[in-house]
Amino acid sequence: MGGYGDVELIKENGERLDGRLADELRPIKIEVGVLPAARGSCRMTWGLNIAEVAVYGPMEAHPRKIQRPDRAVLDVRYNMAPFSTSDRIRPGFNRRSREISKVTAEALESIVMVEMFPRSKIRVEIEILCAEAGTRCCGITAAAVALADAGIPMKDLLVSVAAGKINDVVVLDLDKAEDNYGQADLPVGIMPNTEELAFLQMDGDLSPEEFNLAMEYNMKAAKEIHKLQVEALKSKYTGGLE
Amino acid sequence: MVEIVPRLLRDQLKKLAENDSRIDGRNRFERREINLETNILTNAEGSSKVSWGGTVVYAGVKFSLREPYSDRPADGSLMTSAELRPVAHLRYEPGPPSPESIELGRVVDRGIRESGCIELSSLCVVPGESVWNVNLDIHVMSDDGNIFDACALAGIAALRTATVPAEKHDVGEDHPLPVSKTPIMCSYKKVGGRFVYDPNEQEELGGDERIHITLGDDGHVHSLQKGLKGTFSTAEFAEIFDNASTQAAELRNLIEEKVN
Amino acid sequence: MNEVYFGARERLVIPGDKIENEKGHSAGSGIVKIERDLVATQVGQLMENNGTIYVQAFNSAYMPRSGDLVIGNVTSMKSNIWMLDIGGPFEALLPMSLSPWNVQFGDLEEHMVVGDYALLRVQEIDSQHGVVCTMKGIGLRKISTGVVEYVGSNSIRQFIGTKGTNLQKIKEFSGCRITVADNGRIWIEGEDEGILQVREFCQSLNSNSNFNHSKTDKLLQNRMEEI
Repeated sequence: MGGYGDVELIKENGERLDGRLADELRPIKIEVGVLPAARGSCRMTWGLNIAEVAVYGPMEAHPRKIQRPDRAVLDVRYNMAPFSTSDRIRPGFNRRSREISKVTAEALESIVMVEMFPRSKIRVEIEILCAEAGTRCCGITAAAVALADAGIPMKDLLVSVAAGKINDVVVLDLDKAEDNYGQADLPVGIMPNTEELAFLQMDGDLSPEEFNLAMEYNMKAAKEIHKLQVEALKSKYTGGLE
Repeated sequence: MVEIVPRLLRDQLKKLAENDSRIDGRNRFERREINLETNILTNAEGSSKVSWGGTVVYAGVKFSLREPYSDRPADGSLMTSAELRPVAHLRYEPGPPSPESIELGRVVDRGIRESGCIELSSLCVVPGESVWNVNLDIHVMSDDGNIFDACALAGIAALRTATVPAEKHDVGEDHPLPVSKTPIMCSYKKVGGRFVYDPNEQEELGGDERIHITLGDDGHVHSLQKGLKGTFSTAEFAEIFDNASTQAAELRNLIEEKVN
Repeated sequence: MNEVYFGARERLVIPGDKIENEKGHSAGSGIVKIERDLVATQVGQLMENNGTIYVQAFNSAYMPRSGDLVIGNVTSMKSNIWMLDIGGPFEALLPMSLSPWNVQFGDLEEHMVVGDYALLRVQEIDSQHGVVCTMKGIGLRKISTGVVEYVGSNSIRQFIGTKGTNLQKIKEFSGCRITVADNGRIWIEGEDEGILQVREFCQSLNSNSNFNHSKTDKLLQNRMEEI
């Protein structure tokens, strides 16, 4: 958050620059089974973001030192394609990607029934092909769908979404300009059925009241996105043949 | 992860070859279905997606301004790289680029570069001061065999649709990247003792050496690569070289349909 | 098939779906009990059998159970055991004492080497999820003819069909001998053309994720007509 609260991001009629209201999401589309080589896969477009996720396994964990005797390890990689941003990203080691991979893995480990597969490994590969803002939310939400598509047992799905603050107003789902010039960003991962949180980050500046409103927006949006996840998973098995 | 080649698969491929058929019922030189989409990634200045059988590949073009090298003050540059990331298959491990990944990038790069499809002098902005560097990045998302051809096709299609972002860099008006030629790669794999075009995953697993041929519009060859263990005769090469010109013409038509 | 369909309650479930449980059913595979609720953990069809509610998953990894018939591929060997990939989360072991041959210590390669397929039975699964297989038993053997194809441990049911009707049709139609293993692999022996027909049917099963048996029957019918 740059904290550039003086950049005009909300018009006089209360609409945001792209015409959305404060609690409105960007357009979202979810598809499953898009990568034939993977056991399970998902493609999610969210605003201008495009994420594709492949899931492999469970398989024997190598090297042996990463094995856990009581559960499976989730080997999660979040990676941005070199052409996904306005300035090209050099492939290779990247601290931001490492951190996002780590928190994503820990969020997903909270919903996947990892104790069913001791000593094994489940690979989750998140590739961001086009990035606007909110790629980690897009990646986590798509990863949960890809895991379900792969038949990995899980207690619930997981929806990740962010609310934030621009021009002193709490809004849902920041786009690129809002992310660059906004005052706060609060991405969370919500289990849609139990409403528990499996992922939480925040940066910027929020009062307790603003935090509560932001969480309220996130919770409401999670229900909406969950519907799209369910539809995508179900349509794979009910459509087709006719 | 090292993939074990089932002996039964090799036996079956050999038997099929004797009866002149293939594991998925195709003819020796028959291609799988291809779907090509262009300009699909907002943040890339040119982009494409190729679905070729179950193989899925994305390509994106990015531009940057740089100072020219002192010995070539009026020439820009083109950098092509292809990445085989672990997303594409169970057998690809995380870590630094594997020799396979580097070979893929370099072979695709040579075909595009040597065809002369991009005149490096056309990438000059101010001689001696600033030139364009074109980055073509190819991302393999799903490997179901023949990723080389899919990458090369995605690469040239992305270049053909690229726009030079001059306005963003304050050096004039946006304009299409001048691409004068359309190099096409055709790959053949020795399966059960004879070469076939466009190998699928099982043929890649149970076959032997592969040969990649990149042809320009005029039928001239711009790059060759023999990969993996195995040997072949000049007569075998003559046969696939002859076939490649037919395949290349068809693929070039596919690009022309999409790009124009 | 001794599955009892739910009637109105038979439905497609998604991980996290709560299942009403006023009758106090117990939780089978694909179901977890969270406090008093039953919750689905996999995408699949909700089923009930003898007081147990379970999910017939559409796509899931093979989980070995003792007694399963499996097709394995030898991945490595030591002086006294073969290691095999059976498509599950762990490799399986075949000790030389459970092979059908009289093997001398260190002479395993005389009988079976890396890359060979074998038809085995899962003997036991230890607490560390180690899978021990045996090749002593009727029909268990090294596979040295025909082809092995992957259908998926969930699609196997559709492949076989109600009371084996689909499998019978496929056999008659293609003229092939077909052995179906519990780990989702099938062994096909026959003429090239017949093998290709079986393979094509397997692939259309994999690409059309079907919800019920009647759709599979229709798919089989369509495929046969096409060929």
